Amino acid sequence: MKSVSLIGFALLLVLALCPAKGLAQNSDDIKTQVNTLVRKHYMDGIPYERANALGPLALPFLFEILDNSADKLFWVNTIVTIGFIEDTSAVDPLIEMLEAPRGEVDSATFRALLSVPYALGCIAANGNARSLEYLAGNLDVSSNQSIRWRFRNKPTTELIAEQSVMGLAVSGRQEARKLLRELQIKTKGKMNLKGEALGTAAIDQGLIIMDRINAKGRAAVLNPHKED
Amino acid sequence: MKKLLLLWTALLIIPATATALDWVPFTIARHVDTTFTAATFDAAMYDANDRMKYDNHDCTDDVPCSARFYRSGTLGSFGSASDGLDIITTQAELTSVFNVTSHRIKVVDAVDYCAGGYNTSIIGCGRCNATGFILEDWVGGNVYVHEYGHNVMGCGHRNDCSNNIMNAVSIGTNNSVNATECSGFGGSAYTQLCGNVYDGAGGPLTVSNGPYWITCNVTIPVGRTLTIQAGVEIQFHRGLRIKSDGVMNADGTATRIILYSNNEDQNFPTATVDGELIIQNGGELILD
Repeated sequence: MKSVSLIGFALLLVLALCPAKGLAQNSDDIKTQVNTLVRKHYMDGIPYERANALGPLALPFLFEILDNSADKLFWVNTIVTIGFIEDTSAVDPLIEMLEAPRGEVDSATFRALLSVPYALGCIAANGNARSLEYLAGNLDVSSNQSIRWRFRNKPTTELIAEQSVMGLAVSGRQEARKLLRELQIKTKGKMNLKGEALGTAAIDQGLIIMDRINAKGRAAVLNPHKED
Repeated sequence: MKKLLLLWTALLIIPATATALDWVPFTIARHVDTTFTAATFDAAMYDANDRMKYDNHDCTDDVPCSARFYRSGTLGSFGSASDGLDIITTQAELTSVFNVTSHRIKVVDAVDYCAGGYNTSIIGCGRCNATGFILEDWVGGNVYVHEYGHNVMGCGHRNDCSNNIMNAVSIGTNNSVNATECSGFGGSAYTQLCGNVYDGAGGPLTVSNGPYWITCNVTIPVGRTLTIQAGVEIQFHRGLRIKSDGVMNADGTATRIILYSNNEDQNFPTATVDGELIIQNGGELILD
């Protein structure tokens, strides 16, 4: 993911010039907070509230991690954290990251790339049209030519479509709900659970997730709650 | 000085396959679309057992635990090619994989959904107080033990110390279990012995207070007696010994002999055992 270094620098520049959440924090402190958060593994996933609290000034440090292949095992955490920060400046870098690889990727990269639609969906929670449109575009598997990497024999474009369904779901947006509902009706009885272009189970699950987010709040749904 | 090495202690040692360790069998299957191997799993179990055996003093209630995990049978498989169960994104997929009851552990490429929560950075999902857990194929031994903990001890995490195996966060050094967790895993917490030990100071060694773990060299001082009850089990860390300058009254029997074994290599049931007793300065070893 070498392409993200310049993006990270640009983000740093923009954020330095634009007062934003957490600006008063020392950059070394933010970098420490970023490393403290993402360089661990969470049984129930990166905690939403802690990641969200980092604020957009953390983005350059997060993209820095994505630029280092030695940190691959933490890339999923990093991408999810970027999503949880919910800052629209990360949308284009994330899309570029998803579309940049060519050919076979390794398992850590595969898991990281699969997390990108989820992160975009989290950012779309504030209504960002670019991320919502991109996720919606991924649902049309037959015309999606942007994914040119693969992992073993997995149906990559279909997987990105499924993850995009979940991305739309975690956005919690009404326009995303409308799209998923339409897709649910359109695909009902016409597609298998898997193996075809898009699984209806993912759409059903996405709508459930969306309802739970709207009822209980994001923090309650974006990490498992086994006591539920 | 009479130094009793392996040849002599062989008289005291019961076979390695019947040591004081409590072996917990894990059955495991991988989704057919993964490339997970039995060797990867065995390495994870070795890692898990290393974490169980020591009190690293990294959490105040850490205990060396006799529970050890191993692969039971061959690595199985489940699912069919391209059925999507290698990446868990929905409750339906989670349920389908949990319903593979032939194996406790199911390995997949990604777990994104668990217990009502959706998050692509989830690394595993275990049933609470029920059999079965699902893991991503790259996780370390502590994560296996952690999810097994949910199977046998419920949903809770124990976050009072970052090195706890049952902590919700894996930091790489999650090595600690307390006595309750050790028991829950099917093992016993060792009573640790170190330094001068004799009746009245760490002794007598009894079955009810055992098993014992020799964490540094133990000495029975001149003029003191250490009584070891029949059936007591003692594990030695490699290179350590019990030295008797006084009297070691080992009350073993033919059928329930006292165990002196080395725990260092016992991450798998076939490991060898050895140990060392040194009787010197007029010390006595009494075997009844």
